[in-house]
Amino acid sequence: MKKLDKTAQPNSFIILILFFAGLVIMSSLYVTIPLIPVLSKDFLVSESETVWISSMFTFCFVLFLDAYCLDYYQIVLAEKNHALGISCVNDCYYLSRVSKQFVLSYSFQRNTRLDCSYFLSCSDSLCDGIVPAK
Amino acid sequence: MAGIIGQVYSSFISSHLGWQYVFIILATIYFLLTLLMLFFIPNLPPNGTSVANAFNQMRKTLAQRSLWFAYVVALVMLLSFVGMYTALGEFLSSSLFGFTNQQILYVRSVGILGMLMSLFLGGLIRRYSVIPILRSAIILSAIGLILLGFGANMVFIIVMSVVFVSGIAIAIPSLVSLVGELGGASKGTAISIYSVVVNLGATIGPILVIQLLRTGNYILTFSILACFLLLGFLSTFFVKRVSPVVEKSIAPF
Repeated sequence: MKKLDKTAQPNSFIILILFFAGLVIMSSLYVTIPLIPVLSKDFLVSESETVWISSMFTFCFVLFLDAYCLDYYQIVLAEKNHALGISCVNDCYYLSRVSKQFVLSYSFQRNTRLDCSYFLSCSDSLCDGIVPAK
Repeated sequence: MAGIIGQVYSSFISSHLGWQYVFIILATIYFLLTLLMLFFIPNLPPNGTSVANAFNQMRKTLAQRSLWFAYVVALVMLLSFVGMYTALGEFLSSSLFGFTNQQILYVRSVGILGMLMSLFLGGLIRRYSVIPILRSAIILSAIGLILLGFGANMVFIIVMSVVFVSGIAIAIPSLVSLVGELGGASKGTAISIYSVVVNLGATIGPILVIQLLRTGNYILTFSILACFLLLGFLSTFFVKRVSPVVEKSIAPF
């Protein structure tokens, strides 16, 4: 494990990565909406069948991501919302680092998704609202 | 944000490069992000609780009645958001309007303006309390949605889609803070369940709308989505906030 070095890590950079990752992860839920007519034409299936692409994707997303997102992982914060890194519950500790961080950035975005203002102003409630401080 | 940006991105790429590239480019971005995450985000020691703990908390959290009603609101919000955008594409490309993909892209991207409404939410919550804001946002969205079905020209439709999105953009963050508040000590668990419910709404939305569109009646489709929103509106009346003491600690954003 990398040692945490508070001086070496630019914290706003971490927040930026998490925010951007969350944005593109969340986008994957919505990219199929405009594609429904395109795909149904290309694959010669009706639109009511094509729509299952988006719905099944979202459903599996619920099962695998939501079901274990927020409470298992946390962004650990220093004072004034500077993200320091990622922590998780004991059982998940040996999960791959990347998947852990993806889950986290997802939950980060999930709750700021419509709310970039809090992100931009980096107000206290941003991270407080996202991550239950334990 | 992602709701609109994802749609604009995919309609832009699919009309310029083909739909395959929507996924290819996204995959490339994910790969780059994986590298970024690997190198730049430190991994901290585990936080001492366990998965079993989290599940126990979930049971305790779900015992709260008010939270269930807040989840109903969450479900209908995303159901109508995803449903509305699914229907909008069909609506605009139908013989009524015959919009090109390019024009539909514009309509989708203007929705971002509505998202900017959430910028003002902090000030609103400071002035009024969460539930009245939530209620008025739901009503705003419902009005936008119903009028959308009656839309006769492009400007009107664009304005109404912005009205609708503004409502959603105000309602969702205030709902998150309400759910967090109702969750109290198990705020994290309450918000996790909220995410599950929200995504379930996004799952049901498109299926429902495609079924409704079979009738070929757009006014009916949009009105039924608005009825779902009103259902959410009604359930806000069953949400009891815990105590004014909590309100004080949550409200100043």
